[in-house]
Parts: sequence; C-alpha cells; structure tokens
Amino acid sequence: MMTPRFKWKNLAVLLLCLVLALLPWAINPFRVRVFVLGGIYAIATTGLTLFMGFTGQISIGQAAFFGIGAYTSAILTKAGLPFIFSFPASGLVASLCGLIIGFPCLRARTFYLAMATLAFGLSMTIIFKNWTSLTGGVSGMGGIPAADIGPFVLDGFISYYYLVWIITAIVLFLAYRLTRSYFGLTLRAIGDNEIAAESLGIRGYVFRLISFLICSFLAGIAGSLFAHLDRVIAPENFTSEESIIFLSMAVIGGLRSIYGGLIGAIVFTLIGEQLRSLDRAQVIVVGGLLVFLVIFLPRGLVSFPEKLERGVNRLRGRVSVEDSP
Amino acid sequence: METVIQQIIFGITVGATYSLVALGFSMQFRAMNLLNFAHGESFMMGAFIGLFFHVFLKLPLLLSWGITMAACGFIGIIIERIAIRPLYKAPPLNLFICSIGIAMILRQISNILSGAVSYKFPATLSEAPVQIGVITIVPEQLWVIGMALLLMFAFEQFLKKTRTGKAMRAVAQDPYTASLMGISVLRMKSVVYAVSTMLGGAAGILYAPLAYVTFDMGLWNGIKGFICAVVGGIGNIPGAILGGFLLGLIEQFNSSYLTSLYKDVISFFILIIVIAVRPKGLLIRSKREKV
Repeated sequence: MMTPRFKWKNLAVLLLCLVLALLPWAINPFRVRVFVLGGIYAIATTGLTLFMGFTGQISIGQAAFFGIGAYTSAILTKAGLPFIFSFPASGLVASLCGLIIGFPCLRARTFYLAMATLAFGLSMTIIFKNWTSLTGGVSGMGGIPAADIGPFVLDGFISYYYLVWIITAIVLFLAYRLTRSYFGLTLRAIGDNEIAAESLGIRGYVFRLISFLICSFLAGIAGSLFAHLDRVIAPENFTSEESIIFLSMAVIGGLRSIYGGLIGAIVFTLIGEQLRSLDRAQVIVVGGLLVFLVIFLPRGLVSFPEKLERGVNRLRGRVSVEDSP
Repeated sequence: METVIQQIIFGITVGATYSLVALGFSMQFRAMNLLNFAHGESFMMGAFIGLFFHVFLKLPLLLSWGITMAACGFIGIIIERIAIRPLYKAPPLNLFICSIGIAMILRQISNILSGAVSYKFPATLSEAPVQIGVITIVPEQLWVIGMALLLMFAFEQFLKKTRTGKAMRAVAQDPYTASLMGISVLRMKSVVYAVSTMLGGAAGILYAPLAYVTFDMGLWNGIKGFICAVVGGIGNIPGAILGGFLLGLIEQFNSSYLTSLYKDVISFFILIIVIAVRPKGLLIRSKREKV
C-alpha cells in the first residue's frame, strides 16, 4: 500500500520541478515576478510550518523576521557588501532577533506565544517606520543593488526566478531531511505531547527554541531575497497583516507536511494575483476562502488527494480505514 | 499632582473600553476554547452601527445603544452559526485561522461601506473640562467610565443570577457534565459568542467619541483587548478587567512622560515581559501539570 503511493509522489515532485524549470519561458515575463514572490513566500512559510506544524506552537511574527532580513540585506548591500555575504547575514540577524525574542517568550505556549509574537511584529513595524536614519522611515529604502553571485548580476525577473527557486528547493530538501532526522522526530514528539516527551529526557524548551531560530532564519533569508526582487522595500511590506498572511499560507497548505508551506504559498500568491482586479473586494474573497478551506479541508491542501481518495473509495462502497486525526 | 490625577482618569477611561473587549475574549476562550481574532471587529461594528443610528438617523443615544448591542448580538449569532460552529471538533488553531478570515471579511465590508472615511462621533456629555477643587475633569470621561462599570456590573449579575448565565458558567467549566444536566452546549456557545460581541459593540460605541470612527479601528483595539486578556490571564474575568485598566494607565503614562511615538512598542514589551515572567497571566499562577 505504502510503496506505490510513494512512487507517485516522486513522479509528482519530478513533474513539478520540470514545470517550474520551464515556466518562465512559457509565460509573460511580468507574471514571472508573481512566481518569484511565490518562491520567496514558500521559504518563509516553510519555516513557519517547521515551527508550528511540528512543535504545535503559533507564531504571528513571521513578517517581522522577514522584514529584519530584508532591511539587513538592503543595508549591507548598499554599504557595498556582495549579496553572497548579505544573504546569510540577513538570516543570521533574523535568527539573532529570534533568539532575543524567543528566549523569554517561548516559556509561554500556544495562544500566549501567539500574542507575544504578534506584539513583537507590531512593535517591529513601528520601529521600521520610525527609525528613519536606519530604515528610511515610512517611505522605505530604494536603490538596493541587484543580487550578484560572483560575476553574474541577477537583475532580470527570469534569472532571479531561478535563483529563488533553487534556494527554495534546497531549503525544502533540507527541511525534509530535518523532519526525518532525530531532531525532527523530537520536535514531533514535543508537538504531540510535551509532557510525555520531557519524561523521556527531551528538553522541550530548548528544542522549541531551536526550531523557532530555524523558523526566523528562513524568514530572514526569504526577506533578503524579497529586498533584491523589486529593490525597494517599505515598512508596509512587513506589517502584522503580512504575518497573518504567512500564517494563513502555512495553515491552508497544511501544517503536518513539509510541502504544506510550499503549496500554501503558491496557491495564496496566485489567488491574490488573480483577484487583483477585484480591488477592495479581494480581501473579502480571500477571507471567505480562508474560512471555507479551514472548515472543509481542516488539514490543509496537502490532505486534498487523501480526502479525494477516501471520497472515491466511499463512492465505490469500500470502507476505508479512518486514519488518526 | 493634578496632572497625574488627570492622566489616571484618562488612562482609566481608555482602559475601561479595553476591559470590555478583553471580557469578550476571555469569555470566548473559556467557554468555546476560541481565541477570536475577529473580536476586535465587534468593537468596530459597534462604533459604526452606533454612528449610523445616532448620527445619521438622529435617534436618541440610549435607543441607538440598544439597537447597536442587539444588532451586534445578532451578527454574532450569525457568524457563530456559519463559521465557528462547524469547527468545534477541529484543532483550536483552525478556529483561530477561521476567525482571521472572519476578521478580514468584516473589516473589508466596513471599509467598502464607509468609503474609508473617518467619522467623528459626538460626545455624549460635554467635552469641556470642569474644575472640581484642584483637578479638572472632562464629563465625557466620567460617562465612559460609568457606563463601562455599569456594563461590567450588569454582566457579572447576568452570569451569577440568571439561568442562562449559570448555564454559561457550567459550560465553561465542564461542557460534558453540563450537557448531562440538560444544558444545550451548542446553544450556550452561541449565546457566549453573541454576548461577547454585544460587549465588544458596547465598548466600540463608548470608545467612539474619544477618537475617530474608522474601518480599521477594530484591529488595534482588538489586539489591545487581546493583550489585556492575556496579561490578566486569559479565561479569567477579573483578570481581563484588571488587564484593561492596567494597559490604559500604562499607555497614558507612556505617551505623556516617555515617548508617544513608541508608546505601543512599550505596551507590547510589557506584554512580552509579563508573558516571560508569568506565562499564564498575572492572576493565574502556572503550575506544572501532573501526569
């Protein structure tokens, strides 16, 4: 039972890679930007999936780390540092902030943590807006240099598309390996029952903190990629509404699978782009979709094939084994 | 000294409205296991519905109050029925995300209906300061504090004295046993949602004269109500009230003595410190769970 489905999965991943590799040549160059954005969001959302899906916590501060990464990369490259250095630096600065905020806050769990991270996100927006000498204030920063790797300057959407998606693929691969590792299993044990995990000698707080650091690191590098996409950033890109969008992407995609973040980010970005013509009603439709999906696909879009299979089996009159929730 | 007293009064005025919002949060959390992100929008709805009846239709204030609270309760029942009820068996995170969706819808509807314009809500009593002894008092602030206290008192009596209130407390304490006693848990949850939306609406209409009525006022005030509920210990009703007054005072002293630019940042840092020191709120001593 397990083996054939696994092969299908491999084939699907392969096909997806192929489609993604050929995509920029098949569509209007301007629309490539949407897919670049999808990839960037996928990185940040994967971080959130790792943290929330595995340890069972909630973070509403992802956009703040995203913003910290973006500003770090922008400031460093404007000071003349090459992108290769500013890119990891933005991740490190973001996870340093994650350490500062996570160290006290992760003592609290679930909703209390959600509140603390939301408060952090709101404070960061205010700081981005008001620390004018560093961040350029409300109008933000412009003239950020294009990303460069050695002699290559990635100033077009298509070349940038490949950079972003290669990084996304690496991140997803590493995240996948991580979830299969001792570390990932530990996180899952904590998420399932922290008290039981601690009775086995696992230090829940330490592991939650480490996964929070990974989560903010990924948000930071995604922010760095975002800063070099349009080469203009402003505080409005990093508000708590954005954090909520990241959170929604992760939940809509599905928290229990590492691909949830990817699927949620792509679907959300594409829907947002399709609905742009609706102007202000767009938010209503997105909100409605959120409510609808949470009710009808509570385990996210990744559970859709499973649900379909079960539906088909039921139509055939076969009783499927209910899997655990 | 006189300015300090005035600061305290103003802080309590704003804090009273936060308390009302926080009450709703706490109640929903306790009885429904729901952390309702859309609760702040009931604040916004209250302000707008009140504005519509009082300013545009020129109905008397108390009548508009009644209509507003009834309308908020009604909207609450509809929301609960459509979007919240299907999710009672789902993980709490899903409910939370669902409430984010509801908040987006409500805020955007009011954005479109109001045309993104901010409105001024007329003060109930005079806004001119009155000198009493050495301190100056704005009658409007007394009205806000008085009404908020009245509402809290009425709410407490409702919980303690009426059958519905008792049933609500029973459901909050142990839904299973409550259902064995013949209480309809689903209906009680619906009542909890309606009552907390009514309180949120009342807070909105109280707060409206203190600032402008805008479509996005729900977000910030909701978050602050949230903070108050958490600071006091979510699910704890006296805690929510205490949290509201505390936050109002802290904000007021911040903006007058420290920095008004970063006033919210400081409030948020207080929240973070409270969470770090007391992970379950000020009034709840956290114990290690026993297995």
